[in-house]
Amino acid sequence: MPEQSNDYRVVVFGAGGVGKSSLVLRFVKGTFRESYIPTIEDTYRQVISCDKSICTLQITDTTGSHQFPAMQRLSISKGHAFILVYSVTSRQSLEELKPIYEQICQIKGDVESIPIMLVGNKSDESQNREVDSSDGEAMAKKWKCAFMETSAKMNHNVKELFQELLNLEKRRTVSLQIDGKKSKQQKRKEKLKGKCVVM
Amino acid sequence: MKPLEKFLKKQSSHLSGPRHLHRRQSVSKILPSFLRDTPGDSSSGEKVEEDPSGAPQPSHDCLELPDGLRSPLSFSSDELSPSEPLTPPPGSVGWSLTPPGPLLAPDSPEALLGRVLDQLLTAPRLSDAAELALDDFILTHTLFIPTEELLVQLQQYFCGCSRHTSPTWEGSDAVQKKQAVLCGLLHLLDTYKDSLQEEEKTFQLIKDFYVLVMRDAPNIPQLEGNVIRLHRLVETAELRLTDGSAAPCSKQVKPLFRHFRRIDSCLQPRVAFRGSDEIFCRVYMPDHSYVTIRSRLSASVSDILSSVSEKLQYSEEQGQREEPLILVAVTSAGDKVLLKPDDGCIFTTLGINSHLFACNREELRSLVPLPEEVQLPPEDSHIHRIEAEDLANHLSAFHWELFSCVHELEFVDYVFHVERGRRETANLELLLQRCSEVQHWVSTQTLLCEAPARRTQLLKKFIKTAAICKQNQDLLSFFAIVMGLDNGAVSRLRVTWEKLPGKFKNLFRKFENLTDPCRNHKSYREMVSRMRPPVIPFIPLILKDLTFLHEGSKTFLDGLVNVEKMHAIAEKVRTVRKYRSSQMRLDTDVSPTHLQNKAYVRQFQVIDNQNLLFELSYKLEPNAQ
Repeated sequence: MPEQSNDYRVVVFGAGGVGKSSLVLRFVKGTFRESYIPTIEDTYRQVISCDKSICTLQITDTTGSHQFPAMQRLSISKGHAFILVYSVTSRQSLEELKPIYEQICQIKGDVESIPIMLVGNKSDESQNREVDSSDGEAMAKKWKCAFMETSAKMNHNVKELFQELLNLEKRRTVSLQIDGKKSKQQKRKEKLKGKCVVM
Repeated sequence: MKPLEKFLKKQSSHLSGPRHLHRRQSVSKILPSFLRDTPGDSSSGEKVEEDPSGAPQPSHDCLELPDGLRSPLSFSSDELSPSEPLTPPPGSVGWSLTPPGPLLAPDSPEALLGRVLDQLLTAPRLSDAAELALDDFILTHTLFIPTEELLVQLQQYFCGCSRHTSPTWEGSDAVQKKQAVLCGLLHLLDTYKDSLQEEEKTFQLIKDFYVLVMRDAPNIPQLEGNVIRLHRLVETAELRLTDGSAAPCSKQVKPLFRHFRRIDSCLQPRVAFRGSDEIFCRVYMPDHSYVTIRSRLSASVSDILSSVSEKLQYSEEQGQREEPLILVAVTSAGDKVLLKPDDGCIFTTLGINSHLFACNREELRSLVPLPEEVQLPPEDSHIHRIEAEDLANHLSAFHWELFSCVHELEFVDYVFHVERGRRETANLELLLQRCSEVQHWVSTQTLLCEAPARRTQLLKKFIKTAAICKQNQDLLSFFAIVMGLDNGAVSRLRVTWEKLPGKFKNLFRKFENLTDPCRNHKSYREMVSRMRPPVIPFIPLILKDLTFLHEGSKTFLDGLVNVEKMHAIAEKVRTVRKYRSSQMRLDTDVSPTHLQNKAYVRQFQVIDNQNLLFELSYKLEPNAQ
């Protein structure tokens, strides 16, 4: 299949139930649901700006189970940026990111030029917390990637996460900000807060 | 019963395989387009025999039962295994040419059943005519009597409370009668094979019947043999049902189509699809976002749509969903088919490069094919590396697998679904889809090859491959390749064809004659009639014949079942049984490239947009006539 150079592909990885889909759907549609439907593979598209023109941001939400190693490899080799999600309520889920990180290194080689964000989700569940944010930070430092804690439920740091990730891309200038007509759900749903965009 | 149960467990472990019923689809799709407008005098309704007139086959050993009873089809226990072909019933040899006796006269469905049972009164020693009448009746019964109704009536006969009895029936003793009913029932179950448990209502009736028989069994020792067989068939079906939920590995989710190209999964042998199978499917949005849903193969369009909206969180957001979603199939050429909410089992009916889209009604017009369907795939180098012989053998081996997965009743269901209840014909549909995939692959590969000399080489390779497929008696691949080369976009490449050595030109001309539809595919029918099993027939022609049988004669004549039509249909189904009556074994080499080739052959990338193919063709040879 020919490369679609105009697309910027972000792939979200992490163990089952850490909230990958919740983060993605909160970002794309501005919604949140309590019920859990395991994901197989979904991809959402949004128009963003890239080097002063528009391009498509493709966010691929992957499965948390290890059923499809071939699909995982394919997603990595096609991805431009990665979000590695764990839940702050499960140390195990942070551990489970290691093989994925290693596989990204193996397939992509030079990881330092690739935007990777380590994300501790469910930051709202303070009573069940198993992983301190300092642990996450330490891991991010080790992996030479960025770090953030989020809550898809409370809509905390979700948009910031994606914007930060795009800011890490140094090979081109990508930004969520466009004065486009598209992403109407996004416009309708998103309450912009804090964080400004570069440009 | 202990040893029997142990045996059952063992059987059931390899019983989860192919051959079972599947659901049908819309009548407009009965024939692939390339056959729909076929010229030829096929309207004559003349039945052309495809059976080899060859020497009679040795009759097969029967399962010896404790009391010497013989099953109507004499399935040995081995033959219950899905990997084994259906064995033609003893005495089947002469059936197609000269029926062993006159057919039953047209009658009402109930009376017809009575007459079939009358003939079974001599069980276990049945005449050929009785066996034939029974087989005709069971294979086609759904056209004139629902299976549930048939089971109820059989049960009444068994209990001696049937309203439709004949003097012969009345005059026989009770054991003979019960024996005859069991004989009929077992034939039905044998025919259904491993799809027995698929329809809940039917299976419940069968289990009720089974309980009834078991209650009687201790009093009538003569029934023992048939009772054991019944016990085994019901038990295995039940096990298959519980297996599905108990052992997750035996009921894996099956990736369907081209949505998940995975070498590891495509290398596994194909097993038949059932309506209850879970599959993955991608559903796209107008902006080409997609969600992957997990669904039953038989799921209705509204089921699919509700999974999609659930995934997209529509249901929990008030005001988000202004309008109900619709499901649309979009082809690579941009054609759209709106699917009806109660359509079921749609996955296998989609075109090769079609995709499902969910959208609002107002977005329907804005749907466009996925970019990968519009862009040209790169020229594929694998085709130039693989030898014609490997190519042909891998094609034949795969198509044999697919053909073996099709339950013989799928042929009946596919064509006659209007009269029948809803059933899946997924395995047959997949085989037809594959046939068209191979055709398009041949055209695509030829047209993507830009260097003229290599293109001629490719033509040579395809012709060679077709020749070997024909030698393998894989007429499906043979037809598909020849038709792919006959595609207007390929056949107009005059310069390319001219460079072909005379030997190959002649060979191809011969092949074109064999696939020529004139005189109702006379040359093909002659060729296939000289072949002995195993044969992979050109399936679309069987469906065409069945369609003509269906449309050319009525099922009921003045309320009476048209027995002749039923016999003719059953004959067609028995030709399929015959083609598969021995296993196809091909020399597959074990070189390191073997697996690569195997994977390559099992998932082709093709262009199925004829306009795009013509565009390519004009680019290669602009001036050709």
